Amino acid sequence: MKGRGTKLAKLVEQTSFLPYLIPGIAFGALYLSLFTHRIGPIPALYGTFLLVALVCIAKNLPFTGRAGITSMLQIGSELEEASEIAGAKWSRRFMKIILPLSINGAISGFILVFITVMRELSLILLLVTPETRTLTTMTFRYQEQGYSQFSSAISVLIIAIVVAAELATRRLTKNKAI
Amino acid sequence: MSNTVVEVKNLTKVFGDVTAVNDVSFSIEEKDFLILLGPSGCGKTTILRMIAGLEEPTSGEIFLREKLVYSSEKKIFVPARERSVGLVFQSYALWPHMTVFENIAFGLRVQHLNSAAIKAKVKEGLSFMQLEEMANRYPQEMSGGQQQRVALARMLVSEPEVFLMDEPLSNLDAKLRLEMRAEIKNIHFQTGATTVYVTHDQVEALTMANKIAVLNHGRMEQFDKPKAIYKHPATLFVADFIGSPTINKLKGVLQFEEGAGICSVRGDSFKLVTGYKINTRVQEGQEVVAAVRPESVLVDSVKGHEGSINIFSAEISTVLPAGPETILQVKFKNYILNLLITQDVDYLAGEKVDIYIPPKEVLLVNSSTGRLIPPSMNTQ
Ligand SMILES: Nc1ncnc2c1ncn2[C@@H]1O[C@H](COP(=O)(O)OP(=O)(O)O)[C@@H](O)[C@H]1O
Ligand SMILES: [Mg+2]
Repeated sequence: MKGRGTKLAKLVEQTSFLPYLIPGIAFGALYLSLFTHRIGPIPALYGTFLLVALVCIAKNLPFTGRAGITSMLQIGSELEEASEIAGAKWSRRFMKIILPLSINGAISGFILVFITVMRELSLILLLVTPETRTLTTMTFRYQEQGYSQFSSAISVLIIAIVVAAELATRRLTKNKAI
Repeated sequence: MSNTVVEVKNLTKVFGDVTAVNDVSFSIEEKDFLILLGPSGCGKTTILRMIAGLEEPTSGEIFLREKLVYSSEKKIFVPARERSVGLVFQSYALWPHMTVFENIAFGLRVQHLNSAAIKAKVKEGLSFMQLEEMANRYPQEMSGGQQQRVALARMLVSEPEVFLMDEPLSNLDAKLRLEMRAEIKNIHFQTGATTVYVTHDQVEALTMANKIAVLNHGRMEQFDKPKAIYKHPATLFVADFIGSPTINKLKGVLQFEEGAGICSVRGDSFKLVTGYKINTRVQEGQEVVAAVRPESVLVDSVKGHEGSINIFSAEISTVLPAGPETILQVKFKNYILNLLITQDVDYLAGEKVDIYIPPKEVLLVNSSTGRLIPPSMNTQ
């Protein structure tokens, strides 16, 4: 696969790291002030789940970007070239080599981000409304209102989900490690 | 009709401002085992990849079995998958999500063989490389040596017209490397497949190749049989790169011995007589390097040599015994010379000895061009 290591690819990769350098709460505040009013064609997103999803995507772009790009383009171009030497057309190379090899990376990239987002609080605290609560913001609210037992129960739930996700990745990528 | 299998003409590859391959031309025939030899970064891999069709040259032509597969002028570029070449990558590039069986079968499936034929061929390949028990393993569950055998088997079963190998032994330990050298030579003997093999190891090149192309900074310095490369290097670079220990180099200017009709080299504080005849193509006063192979210098056994020319007193500085042979480093004037001796004599560091450099063993290099003065002018 060509296009790796070009100036554009480097620029995209580097700018995608910017959100990661900004503190979560500040990044949340930024999105809050950006999306409370409608700006041109973009409607006011405050109060929608879309905004919560959006901010999580932006914040984690460096990881997903890295995992995705690396697994897709850097599976070792030689692995693809070896199939080219074997006489395989592009369609077969994609189906038999690139896809099976990068799917692992994609899955582990996804789970990595999933786990991070599951534990995210400061980033989305300012953006959630009662309709768009997440488990972490619920623990925060319960804690604030003095229901520390509810809060602890949800924390345990978060840990259980995260551990399950981690175990699932290990199973999925077992034996196929690159 | 000639049986040229691979021919490259004026092949050049430029990456940005690096000229990786610079105007390289050669051709090889049926059953040839060509080794592209040179230091790291000299363009060996790039040449191999251009022959394979994985890298598009900047200019030049490539023929495979007299079929033009690349031409900058005619705008021809036949992709790798249509070239019928096999390639063993330096990294082996085995597919980690496939078993050994599937790795080897892949190329056969692409060729639409039926499953019985595939099974038979893979089995044959496995047994040829002594991998019968490994069929269901994954590459990452195997040692480097085994992975390398799989990579070879994968190439063999597809029966390509040309075998290409990129430093296949560089990741193996010394002992295994020796075994695999013999094994690859044996594969070549049994299949007769025309092979282009890349290495930076000059011993590997001398032991395995029947033709060697020595490369330096993307240029081909010499293309010849291993013996000729060793005995008659075309340039000082080749003389220096080939042979272990390294060839000895003594600087001086050319001087004519009118009476004897031969040339000698006058250095700082020595005069070395050569076997080169006085000739119109050499000039007195020309700056030269006298190059002498370590095994050509004789030590202490000076009696019986005509006159007293080229006998110098020297002092042994280091003794490096290596089983049947011994490397001596001796101090001669302000040079340290490498000597390779096979006699069973115990020399000691500090010992004073006489060394003899036979005139006919002296190679002369023109200092300003770096090229050897042709041996055709040699009396021998
Ligand atoms: N894809 C590439 N992009 C830029 N420069 C390259 C590329 N491939 C090789 N080169 C450069 O070309 C030169 C020759 O490389 P290579 O053929 O790999 O050398 P070798 O195999 O002899 O060690 C080196 O200077 C290397 O840095
Ligand atoms: Mg290389």
